[in-house]
Amino acid sequence: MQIILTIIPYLFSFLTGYLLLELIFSGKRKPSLLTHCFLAMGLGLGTGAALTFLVYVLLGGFSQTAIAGVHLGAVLILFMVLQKKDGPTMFRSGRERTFTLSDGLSLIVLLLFFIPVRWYADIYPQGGWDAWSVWNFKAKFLLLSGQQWTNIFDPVLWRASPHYPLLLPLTVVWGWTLPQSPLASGPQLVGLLFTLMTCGLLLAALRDLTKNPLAVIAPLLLISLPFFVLLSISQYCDIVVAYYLLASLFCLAKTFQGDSRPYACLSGLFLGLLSFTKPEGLVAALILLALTAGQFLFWAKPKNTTVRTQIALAGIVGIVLGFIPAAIFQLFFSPGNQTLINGLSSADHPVTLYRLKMIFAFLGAELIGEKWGGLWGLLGVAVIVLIRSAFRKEIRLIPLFLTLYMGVVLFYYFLNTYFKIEWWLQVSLHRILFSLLPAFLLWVFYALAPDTE
Amino acid sequence: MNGPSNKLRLPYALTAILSPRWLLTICFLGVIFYHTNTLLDEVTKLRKLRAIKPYAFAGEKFAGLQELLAGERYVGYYTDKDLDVNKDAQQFAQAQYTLAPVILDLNNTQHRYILFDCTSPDVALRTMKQVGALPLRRNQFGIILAVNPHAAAGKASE
Repeated sequence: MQIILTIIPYLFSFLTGYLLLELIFSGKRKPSLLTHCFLAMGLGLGTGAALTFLVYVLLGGFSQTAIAGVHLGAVLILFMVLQKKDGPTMFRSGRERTFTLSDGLSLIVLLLFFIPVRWYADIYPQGGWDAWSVWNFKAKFLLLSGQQWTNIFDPVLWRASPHYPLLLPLTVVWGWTLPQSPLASGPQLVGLLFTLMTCGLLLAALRDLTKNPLAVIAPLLLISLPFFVLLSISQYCDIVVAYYLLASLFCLAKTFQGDSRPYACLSGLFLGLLSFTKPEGLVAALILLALTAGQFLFWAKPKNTTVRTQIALAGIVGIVLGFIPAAIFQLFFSPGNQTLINGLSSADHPVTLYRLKMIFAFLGAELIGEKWGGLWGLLGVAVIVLIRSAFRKEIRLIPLFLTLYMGVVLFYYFLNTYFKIEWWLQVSLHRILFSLLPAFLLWVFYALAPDTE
Repeated sequence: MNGPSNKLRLPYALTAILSPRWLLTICFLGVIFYHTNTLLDEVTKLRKLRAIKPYAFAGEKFAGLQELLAGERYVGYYTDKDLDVNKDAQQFAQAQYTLAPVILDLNNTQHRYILFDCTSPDVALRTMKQVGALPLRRNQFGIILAVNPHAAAGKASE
């Protein structure tokens, strides 16, 4: 019964996301059913986390009635707005692509491959180290602290990284709202959901962008890799970053592919949610915003100024709405990074050439490491073989982003001399690469598809 | 007029399969097959191990203290164990999870309540004597909850 009470909120989140997408695409051709569902879940969970955060900020703590009420209210309002806007044609407007037999078979194969992931999750029901020391700890703190929820930012809790945004803990709290108890099944379910959503969205994105019937190979590469599965079910936030990054990149690709206002708005929303996941998510979102702005300025189509303005406005609306929770958190609650020493200005902990050498050595060793099963090497070969296709105009945003993002991350490793570099790289570099892998696969398989060579 | 070409012409299907796209696809399929076998082996071994050695959460050693410590913002957590050792650091982290939203203040004995997680009862008792703390409870895992009558009350609302 308790587990059912944990599942119900997430079904609500799916409904919220589904209706929100219906509203955003109202009057326009909607995404394929596969894409709609996998985007809906992520949008719904992110919106749920934002609404839960709103309750904490406005009412000063956990309130079962307020959190459940706000979510129910959101669904009802969305439904009423859609009813008024579309009337009898609600849910009936056409899709870009119908659900085909190939889609169905791909989904079935994906779900079959998901079974061992489910078994693996049961072996570590409380997740990994950062689950109980950071993410689930924060979720439990938020659930049980009442009006003292801001104690979560106490400097004594520096080990729990109080400057990390709260999307994942708030998503878990939403699942715990009905049972009002910190059940282990809550965070486990969230981890599994985000894993399935990431793989499913990668499948849907490639089917939409490339029409490749073998698009299912990309998510299977993820879900069959033991190390990827281990990190996915560890109940960390990295799979959440991976999902929102993938969603943002997909929506941006669709925006520029079809000069689409709905996708422009969605891109903004997903970038905002990405910024509310982890500091790395915020960095990724800001880099993508800058690159998107640059690409928009040099975008050859659409020639119609009115349409260009509308696309830009749709994007801005999405960005403003999507960034609200992250902005409130950063401006009013985040205590700042307490584990930061600027090695460029510190006399006691200066940057050294040794630190730089260790960073590149670790990166090289990590990419060819046994735990990745040669996947990074194979993807690297694929990029070289498909080099002309991989750097085409339509797709250039992804490799540009990956290069800039890794540059910023490596520079941060060099700059912040608070931690011993060997330990820090050992415990975190693989998770950065983990969160980038789905985006990397999107890039490679976009370049690999037959009609894009 | 030109004669027939002397070049060897491969069948179309073979040409298609030898294209970079198809070669890469075949490689990816091979990788999926290999990784899936490894994953299934790993999961099967771990499930068998779990059947023999059930999952243990070190934080369970602190279960039952939540009600006693309810309302406290900080509780001291004194330990002489080396927290650079994984097992001991893990126990501290899991204790923090179990007792949330109480904040465990590592090696601070100036709070009203102090948990002693020491390598031996003698170390705990010696430290309690030094700070003037009085033992309240001790569980089967050797965790001692003590009260420091000299410390000010640290309520969660402060």
